[in-house]
Amino acid sequence: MRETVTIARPHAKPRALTEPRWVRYTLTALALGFLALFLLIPLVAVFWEALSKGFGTYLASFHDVYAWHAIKLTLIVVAASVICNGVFGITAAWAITKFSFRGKSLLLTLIDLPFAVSPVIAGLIFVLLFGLQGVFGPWLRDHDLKMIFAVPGIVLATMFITFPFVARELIPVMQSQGTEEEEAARVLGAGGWRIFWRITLPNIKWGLLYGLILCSARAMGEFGAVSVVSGHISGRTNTLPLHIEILYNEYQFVSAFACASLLTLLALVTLVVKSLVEWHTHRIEALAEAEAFEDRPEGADSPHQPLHPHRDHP
Amino acid sequence: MSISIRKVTKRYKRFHALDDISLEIPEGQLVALLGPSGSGKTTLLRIIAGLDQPDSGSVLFHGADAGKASIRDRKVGFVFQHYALFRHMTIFDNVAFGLAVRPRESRPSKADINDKVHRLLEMVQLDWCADRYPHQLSGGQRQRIALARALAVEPSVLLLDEPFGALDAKVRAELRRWLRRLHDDTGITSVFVTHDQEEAMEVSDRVVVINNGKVEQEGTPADIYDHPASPFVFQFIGNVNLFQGRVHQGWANVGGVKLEMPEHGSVEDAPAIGYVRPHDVVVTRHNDEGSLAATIRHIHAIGPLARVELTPQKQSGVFEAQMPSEVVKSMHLEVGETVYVAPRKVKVFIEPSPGSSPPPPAT
Amino acid sequence: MPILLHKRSILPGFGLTLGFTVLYLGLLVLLPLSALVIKTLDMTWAQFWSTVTAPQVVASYKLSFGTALAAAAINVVFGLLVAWVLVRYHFYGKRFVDAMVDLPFALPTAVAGIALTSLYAPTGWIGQWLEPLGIRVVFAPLGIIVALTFISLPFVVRTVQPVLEDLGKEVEEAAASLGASRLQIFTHIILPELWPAILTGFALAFARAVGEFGSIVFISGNIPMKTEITPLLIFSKLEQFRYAEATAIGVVMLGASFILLLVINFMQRWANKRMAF
Repeated sequence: MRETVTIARPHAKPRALTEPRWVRYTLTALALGFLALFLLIPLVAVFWEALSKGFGTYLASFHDVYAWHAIKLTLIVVAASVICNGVFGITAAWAITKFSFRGKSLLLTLIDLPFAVSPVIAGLIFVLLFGLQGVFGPWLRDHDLKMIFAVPGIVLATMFITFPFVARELIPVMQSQGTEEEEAARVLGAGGWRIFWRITLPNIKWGLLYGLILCSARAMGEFGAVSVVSGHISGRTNTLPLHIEILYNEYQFVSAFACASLLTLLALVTLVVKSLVEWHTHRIEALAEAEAFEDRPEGADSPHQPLHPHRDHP
Repeated sequence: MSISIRKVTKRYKRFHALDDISLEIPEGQLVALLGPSGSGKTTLLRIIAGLDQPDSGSVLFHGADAGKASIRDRKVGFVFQHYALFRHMTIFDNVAFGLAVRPRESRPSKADINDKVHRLLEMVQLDWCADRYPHQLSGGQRQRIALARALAVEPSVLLLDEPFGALDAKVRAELRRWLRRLHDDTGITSVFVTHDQEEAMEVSDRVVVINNGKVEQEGTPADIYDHPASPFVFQFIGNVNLFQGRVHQGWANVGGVKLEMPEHGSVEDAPAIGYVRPHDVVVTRHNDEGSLAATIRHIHAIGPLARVELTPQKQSGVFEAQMPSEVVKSMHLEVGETVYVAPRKVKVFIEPSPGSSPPPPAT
Repeated sequence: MPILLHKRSILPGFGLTLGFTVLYLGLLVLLPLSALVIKTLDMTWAQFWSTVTAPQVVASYKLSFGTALAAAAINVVFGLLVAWVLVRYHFYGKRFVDAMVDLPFALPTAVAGIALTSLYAPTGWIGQWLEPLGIRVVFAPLGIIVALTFISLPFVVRTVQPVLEDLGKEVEEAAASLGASRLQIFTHIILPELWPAILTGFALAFARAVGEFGSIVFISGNIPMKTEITPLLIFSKLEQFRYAEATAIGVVMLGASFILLLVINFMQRWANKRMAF
C-alpha cells in the first residue's frame, strides 16, 4: 500500500506539533503492517483457498443439499434475530431515552449482559433450560416438542447473543436527539404511533440500519452458542458456520473455504454498508457544522460577531 | 524583545487569511490586534508564536529571523482563549509543567520549581488552589492560571489569543485591568488578540486594527479613536452616524449640510459618506446656517449620558446624538419636538466607485 | 408501577415499551441465566469446588486468561498505534483501512479460525517461515493468542480513536509553547487523556477474548492440559452429557465476566467524570 504522509503540503505543521517525517513513516508502516498481517492476509487466504482448485470446483461446492440447507437455516436464524431484536431495540430505546425512571442504569447494564457472556455459556443455559435434563425438558418431552438439537434452540441462542446490538446503537442516537420534537408533535395532537412513524423513525433510521446490520452480521456468523444447542445434524440443524466446521474436519478444505468465502463476502458487504452509514451521518454532521461556521473561515476565532453600532443613512 | 513582521502572507485554500502584512511591535509594549471574526488576527498571532507557518514573509525576534525556530525554542508564552489547561494535572503541576519538562541540565531543582510556582500563584492571587484541578476553578481563575503557566518559563514575549473572550462581562473587565497592571509590573512585550474594541482601547499601548487580512490602521488608542484612517475603522471603533452625500471640488454636502473639505479639493462630484460620532452631534433649538431640522423620536436618559434618537425631517432614517443627561434635562427636550442639529466634527470618505476596492461596511 | 417512578412526560407508551423491554429481557436473558444458577444449586459445595478446581480445569483457566491477557495487551499496543495513525496521519487508502478495522466484528469466527489455521499451519503462507525457526503456532498456545488478537483487534482502536479525535490541539500547542518535546507531549499530555479509553478497550478486548470459542476450535487442537481453553472444556463436558460439571465451570466463567463487566462500567463512569469539563 503506497502512502504519502502530508509533508509537502503548503500548510505543513511546524515541527514541534507533529513528529519528524521518519517517525511518521515508521509508525504508519508498523500500523499498516500489523493490519495487513492480521486482517488482509487472512481475508485473502479465504478466497485463495476457496479458489485453489479452480473456479469450477469452487462452484461445485455449492451443489450440495447440505450446503443449501445450511444457507437456508442461516437466513431463517438471521431473519428471526433481526426482527425480534430490532423490535426490542426500538422499544427499549424509546423507554430508556424518552422517560426517566429509577433503575435505568441497572436496565442498561442488564441489556449489555449478553456481551459479557461467552457464546458457549449462552448455548449452555438454553440446554439447561430446554434440554432433556433441563428445567422445562420433561414438559417439552411430554408435549412432543423439541427445542434443543432443533431450529428453535438455534434461533433462541442466536437471539441471546445478538440481543443488545440494535438497542446499543439506538440508545445514544435517541439520547442525543432529545424529546423536543416528539413533545412538539404530541402538543399538536399526534398519537403515539404517528409520533413514532413520522418523527422518531426518520431521525433514527441510519442508526437503526447500522444496528440491524451489526445484528445480522453477528447472527449469521455465530458459532459457539449454536454449536452447543444444534447437535450438528446435517441437513437439519446445521447453520453455515457449523457446516464449514464439518467440511473442514472432514478435510474437504475447498468446500469449507468456499462456504467461508460466502460468509466473508457478506461480512465485506456489512463493512461497506457500515462505512456508507457512517459517511452519511458524518456528512450530515459536517453540513450542520458548516452552517454554524459559515462566515468564520478562521475556526479559532471567537464565535461572537462584533457589534457595529451605527445608524442608518438619513 | 521587539518583534518585526515582514510581508507575511497566509492562505487557507483560496481564502486570504493574511495578505502581505508588515508590522513592528516595539519592546516592552502591550499591543492589541483588533479586528472582526475572520479578519486574520488570530492567524497572525499563531504565526508569531510559531504555531503556524506563513506561506511567505518572515517574523523577526529582536532582529533575528525566528522562522527556523520551532515554537519550543522561541521562548514565547501563549495564552489560549479556552485556557488549554492540562485537565489531568493539578494547578501546581500545570504551572510547573514548563520547568519540569526541561532537559536535566537546565531543569531547576525541585525546591526552586516549588518556590517559583508558588510565587507565580501568589502573583495571580490563586496560591490557595495549588492542589486543585482545573475543573474545580471558575473561568476567570483558569485564565489566570494559564497566564501564570505561560509566565513560569520566563518568556520574552507573551501572546494572548482572545484571553477574555470566554468570560462573562464583569470578570472580563476585572481581568483586563489586572492584565494591564501585570504588564506594567513585568514589562514583557505582549501581543493580544481581541474583537472587543473597548478591551483593546482600555488595555493596550498600541492598537493594530486588522480587517480582511490587512492592517487598516495602527497607533495609540487615542489616535485611532480620534483619527480613524478608514471607514472601516470608524465603524468598528465606537458608535457612529452615517450620512450619505456628495463631494465636489473641496466641498461636501452630507445630509443637507454643506462642509468645506480641503483634503478632497480635486474630487469631481463623487458620492461620499460622512461619519459623525454621536457625541459630536450638537442639538439646539435655533435654526443656524448649516444645521438640519430633525424630530426627536426617543430619549434614553439612564445614567450620566443620554442618547437621543432623531429623524431628519426631509429624509428618512434615524441617527443618534449623545450628550450629558444634565443637558437633556436643562433643555427640556421632549419626544416629538423639532430641533436643529449640527455636527461638531465630520469625517467624509469618498465612496469607492463600484468594482475598484471593497465598499465601506455600511449597511 | 410502584418502584419505577418516572417524571411526568407527555409522551405516550411508557408502560408499553418498558413493559415489553423488561419482559423480553427477562424471558430471553435473565430466565436462561438463572437456569445456570438453579442447576448449580443442585450440587453440594464440595462437588462444586472439586469440579472447578480439577487440574484440567485449572489448566484451562490459566490458558484462557493468560492468552486473553496476552492478546489484549498486544491489541493495546497496536490498537493505540493504529488509532494514532488513522487519526493523525494522512495516507492513500485511509478510509479503506479504517473500514477494514471492523472486519473481526463482521467476519464469522469460524471463518477466521479456518483462515488463520491454514495460514499458520507448518505448510501455510506464514507457518512455513516460522516452522524452521522452531516457532509453532497451530495446536499451540501461540495459535490461541493469534486468533484472540484477531477477534479482539477492533476494541482498543475503536475506543481510543474518538477520544484522540476530540483531543483539543490547543493543549498540545500549549505544551509545545512551554518547551515540551514531542515525546514529552505524548507521554505527559496525550497519554494521560487516553488512559481511560485504553483501559476500557483493553477490558472489552479481554472480556471478548476470554469467552471466544469459534476461532479457537480450529487453531488450538484442543489438547487437554495444554491447549484446551475453558469454553472448549465446557463444550466437551456437554458432549459427554456431564451437565453438572459444565454448569459449575460455566458459573465460574460467568462470574469472571460479570466482574469484568462491572469493571468496564466503573471505568467508563470514572472516565466520564474525569473528563467532565
